[in-house]
Amino acid sequence: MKLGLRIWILIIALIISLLAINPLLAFNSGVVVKSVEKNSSAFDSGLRDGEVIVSINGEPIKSKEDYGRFMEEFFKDGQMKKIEIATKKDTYLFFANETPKITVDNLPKTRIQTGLDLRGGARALVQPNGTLTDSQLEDLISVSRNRFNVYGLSDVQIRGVSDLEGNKYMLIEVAGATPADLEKLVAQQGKFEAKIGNESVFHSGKQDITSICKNDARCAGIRSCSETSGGYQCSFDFLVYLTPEAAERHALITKNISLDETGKYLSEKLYLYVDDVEVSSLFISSDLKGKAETQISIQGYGVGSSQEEAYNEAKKEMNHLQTILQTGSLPYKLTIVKLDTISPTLGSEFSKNIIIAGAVSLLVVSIIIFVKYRKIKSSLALLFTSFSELVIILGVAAFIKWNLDLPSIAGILATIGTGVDSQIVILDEARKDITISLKERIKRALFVVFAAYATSVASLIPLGWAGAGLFKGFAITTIIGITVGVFISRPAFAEIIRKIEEE
Amino acid sequence: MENNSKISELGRIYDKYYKLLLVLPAILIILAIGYFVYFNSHEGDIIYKDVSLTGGTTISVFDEKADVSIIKEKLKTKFPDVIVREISDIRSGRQRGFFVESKAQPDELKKEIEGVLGYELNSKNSSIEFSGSSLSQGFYQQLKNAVIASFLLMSWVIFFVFVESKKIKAYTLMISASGVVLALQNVSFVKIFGGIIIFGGFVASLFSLEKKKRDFLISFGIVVASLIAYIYPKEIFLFLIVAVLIYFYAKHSVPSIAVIGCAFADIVLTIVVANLLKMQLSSAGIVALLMLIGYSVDTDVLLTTRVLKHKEESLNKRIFGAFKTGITMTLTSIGAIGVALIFTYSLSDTLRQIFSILLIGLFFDMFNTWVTNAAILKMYAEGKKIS
Repeated sequence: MKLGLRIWILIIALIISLLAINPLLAFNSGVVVKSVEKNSSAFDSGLRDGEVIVSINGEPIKSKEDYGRFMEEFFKDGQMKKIEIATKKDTYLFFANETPKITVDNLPKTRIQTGLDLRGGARALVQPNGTLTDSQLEDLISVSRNRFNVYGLSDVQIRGVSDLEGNKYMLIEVAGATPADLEKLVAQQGKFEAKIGNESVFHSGKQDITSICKNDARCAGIRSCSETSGGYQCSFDFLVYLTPEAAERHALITKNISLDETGKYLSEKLYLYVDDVEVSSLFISSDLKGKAETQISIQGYGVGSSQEEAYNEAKKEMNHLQTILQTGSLPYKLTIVKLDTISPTLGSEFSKNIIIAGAVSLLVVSIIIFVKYRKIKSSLALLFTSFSELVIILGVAAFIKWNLDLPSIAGILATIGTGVDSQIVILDEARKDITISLKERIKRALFVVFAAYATSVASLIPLGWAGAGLFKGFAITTIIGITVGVFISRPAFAEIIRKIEEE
Repeated sequence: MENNSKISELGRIYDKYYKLLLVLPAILIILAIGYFVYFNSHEGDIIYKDVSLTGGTTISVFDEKADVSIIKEKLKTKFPDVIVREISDIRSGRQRGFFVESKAQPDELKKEIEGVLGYELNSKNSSIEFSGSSLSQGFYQQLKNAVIASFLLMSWVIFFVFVESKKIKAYTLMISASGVVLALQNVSFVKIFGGIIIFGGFVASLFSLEKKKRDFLISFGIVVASLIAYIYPKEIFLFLIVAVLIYFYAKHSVPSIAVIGCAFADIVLTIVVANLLKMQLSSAGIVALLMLIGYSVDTDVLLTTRVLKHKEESLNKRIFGAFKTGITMTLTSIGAIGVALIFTYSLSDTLRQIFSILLIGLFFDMFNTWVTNAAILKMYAEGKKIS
């Protein structure tokens, strides 16, 4: 039997989807590092999140359980020991007397990402009071992202969402382990502190900082770039305006500090802390010694292998510092309007039940189809088409990195359901015993299929916006699913049926 | 042979009584409207809402041994609105835990549950979901508007499929677009896109029409223009838009108003049953009502297409042929959704509600398609002599 173009399109779509889902990953073993606590010995050794641990001290690590068992066994005696973590990229060596402060997880078996309600995690929908413009929302998001990074939480997704009423929100999702303090992190004003030695010079907030220069080239910007050994370096500075009280404090503290050997700077640095974690340190120019200066220039630099890279790095770093200083003086009060912490406990149970439900549903549908038509070939073709539709939807979801949550899964099930319905229309029309040509009959069937498709899409579109985008998952998976169905699998099915009927 | 005569016998009975069949849906709809009036006067709304639409807390605790009835009793004293349900695994029937739902704040509810259980709740043994009340009420309002917009769009597509006149398609598109813009007026994409359609349609029709109708269109255009200017209250205008659309659809295409009406009746009757079952609808439940449109419309479109466009067979045969196909479609859907419902029944509230609503809706869809819509179509086809 010669395969027609439409069937080839279906087959190619299937192969691409399978590649997107990548079942080859199923043979991968090892655990992936989800987070590394800053300033821990593991962090200092250079280990970072995203690396895949293959073995520890020569012992192969294949799963999260292996990792847990090894650590428990290894540090049972509480002795300081050498630990050698081999990842796919490198080997990291450090000493520890307790389980390293990193979190690990099994390598994903597929590229399909499951949503929070399946794999567990925390989600907060945060509403700033007052109306924000889009750029203000962007600012807020970058400030918040920085704040989470300061805490070493990198597996955090923050995005702006708006709803049908025009309200703007920030949606924060932390996957996997649920940090109990998400609420604190979001709602509490961050504490910024600048210290010299052990003494506090100024804090973030209106008390000490009147304003920060941002986006104004006269008082903030990249000042110079120069070639250094092995690359380029660009320096920046920006002004921070202190209140007179804070300036006075600065004068008092710096009065007694000696100059360093170059004579250009004081021997003590100005350290910047965010919530008691050191994030940066600055040299203090010698002419500031003992002065009640309300304008403080904060300097820094970025390096890179090319001038452009160094420039961008410097810009990023400057923005980072400005944001940190601003964090405390965030002009918006944030309210958590929705907070979900979902335990991962039931997640695997869910997935298992959903897969079984899907399989049994398909079986039930097959039985009905077979009893009705009593034709193995056509029934199998119908089931094959539905199954490939499922694979293609999952492939698309994996490709666009869509998180499959419960509403998305319901959407997929609905799609497969309407897909089977459309196939029945085609099958029945094709098997009709009337004088009109088979081609014409299939054309008629496809008319019904397209009309039903158009109405479904029309009815789904408004959902994309309702409820701060929480139903986007459902709307998108369903629209993808029925579109795949109408343009790829249905025409292929029609062709298969035509071939079968013509035989 | 015997089979054939049976069918023709059935056909004769059907020919004689099919108009009478329309009494059934009419009674149902009247009862439903009466029920909603009664329900609304008691509850102040047309559905029971769960905490995702009113605001409140849901806590799921994974405890295989906890006695759910005792917990329920103890929590009831402090939170009278509390709902406690067991979570279990269908395959083993084992209790996996329970969940508690209340309008209370998460901290209060958590503390009370901890008091009853005697241990602390953490992210390993529990999930906590909280929605603020203004947010949830906002969601509810938005979902209602989304449903209205969905209905306007889907109705127009149906009309587009079954009506010939391009002009009337354009008018109705303009009116529907202004309805969608009104319902979703804060989405800039909708505003821009809807505005273009309305304006374009208006200009195009001004130039393409003879004088008399132009007057009508100008006055009509003013109504639309004032809509874009957001004259409140929008409910009145939405009502007006819906009324005008129904008039156009009914005047130009009885079959499409029948399809739209059936989808509407499916949803309304499903809500009635959900209310009678005291089902508290969540946001997912409302989304399921929209999913119902997709399932409901395809059988109706199939029936309408067969009756109106395929003239090789007798009218009754066409209806019966469509019925055979359509019932297979609905049965497979019921089978698949029924299985999905069983497997997720005691595990996930979200999925349980979605599948329950679809299942109820599918039963009504069988009724509405093969009793209501079939009878209307037969009447229409016989009147227009399409047989």
